Amino acid sequence: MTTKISPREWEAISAYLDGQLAQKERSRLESRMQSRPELRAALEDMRRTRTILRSQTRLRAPRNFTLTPQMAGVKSRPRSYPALRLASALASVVLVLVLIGDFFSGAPAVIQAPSAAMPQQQAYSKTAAEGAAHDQALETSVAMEAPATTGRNMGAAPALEMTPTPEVSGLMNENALPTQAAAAAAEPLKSTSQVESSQVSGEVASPLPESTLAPQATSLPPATAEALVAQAPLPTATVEILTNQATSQPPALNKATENGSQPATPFIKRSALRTLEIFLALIALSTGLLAFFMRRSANH
Amino acid sequence: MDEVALIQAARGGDLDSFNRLVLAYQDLVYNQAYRMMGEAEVAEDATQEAFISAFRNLGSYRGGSFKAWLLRIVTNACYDELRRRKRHPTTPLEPIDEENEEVESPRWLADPGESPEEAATRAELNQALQHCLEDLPPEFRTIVVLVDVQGLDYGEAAEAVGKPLGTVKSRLARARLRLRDCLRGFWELLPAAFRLVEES
Repeated sequence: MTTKISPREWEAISAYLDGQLAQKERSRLESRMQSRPELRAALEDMRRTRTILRSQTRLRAPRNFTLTPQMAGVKSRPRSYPALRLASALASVVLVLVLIGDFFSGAPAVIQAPSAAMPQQQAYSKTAAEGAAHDQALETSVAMEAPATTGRNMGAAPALEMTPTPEVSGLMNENALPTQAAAAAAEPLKSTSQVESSQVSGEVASPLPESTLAPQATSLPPATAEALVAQAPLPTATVEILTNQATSQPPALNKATENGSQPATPFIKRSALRTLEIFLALIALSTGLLAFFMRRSANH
Repeated sequence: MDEVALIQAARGGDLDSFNRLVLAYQDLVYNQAYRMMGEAEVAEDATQEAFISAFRNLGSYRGGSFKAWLLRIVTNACYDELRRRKRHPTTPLEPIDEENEEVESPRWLADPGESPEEAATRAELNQALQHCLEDLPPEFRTIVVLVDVQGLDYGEAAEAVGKPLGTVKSRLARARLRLRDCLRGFWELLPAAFRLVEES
């Protein structure tokens, strides 16, 4: 009577055939095979099947399956790909550094500029206010004295002519500029005053306009001012004002000249930085895109 | 250069080293593909695809049996083709000669020590066996080819299919049982062939 062989028994027989059974299971199977001939028959069938399978002729490959570079995708990238990739990376790094440097160098200058400008602006405004006050005083005194002084002495005309304009009077109250600048500025004033004096003689009654003064004139040299004062009995306040103005330095004008050139330098630097940043960004972007499309076309 | 050095060089992109490995294993890989697919041209395509995939994925090789790793790649390639055929069944084209007869693979006959009668008998046996193999489910077929045709041990076979040892034992036993039943039908037809096998 043939008993059916269970799948578990078939598995044990198969493993037993290949020597893959543990010792304990091997002994158990051998003992069962002694009492069950179907197990022995099954073992023989399986052994024959394995023999047929193992006897199969080993097929040789019909051709060589070695890979070409195209198959392997090895030399598909152009040689310039690594260089482009490196250039893009370097340009990006330099751009970041320039941006960082621009940020840190630009911020303090921006902060300082207003604060530095503030005192100057305050000084200028203060000076302008003081100048305006002095100017008003001068105009009042000169207007009052004009009819009296013009007829007495020719020298008074230069004094009158030398009435400073509001801007000039404001500038003249600054004390920072050197005397040389004041002397240089006074020279066109002297020549102007000489011209005007010849004109005044024909026009005694009318007050001289303030606009006849040279716009660049800043102050009189002390000696000239004193001489003028001595020639014409001007009011004391006016004399003091003229004297103070003659001795004072017109610093603000030179400062303005200097400051006029300063804003140009930071502006040039800022423009150069912006140009550099744009240039680096364009390089990084273009080389990066080129490398990307090269790699993409190579992979396809 | 030994296999480990070749693999290391190939992982570094050395195509020549990899091609030396290809030459060493291409028979093994082609046999696996042919036994699984049953067609020479399909087996060639699967073999080439397997080696291309192997070169590109050398980074995933973590040591162990390189043979089992390669066989896993070709097995998966064959599974993919079988699944594709299942979705889109096609009639396989057999090469026809001038006399309108199917052209047998000459590789079946490549055994210089045999007589023509023995070669013919062996060729018929090969055909019978191939027919029985193709009747097996793919997962059973793979295991029995790996162990009984290619000569891998249980551990390598488990590595090649990515399954536990117990699964390999179970599938192998069931595959052998089915092949026994299938070949029993040819036993009466080709007794000489089987006697030839037992004698050798």
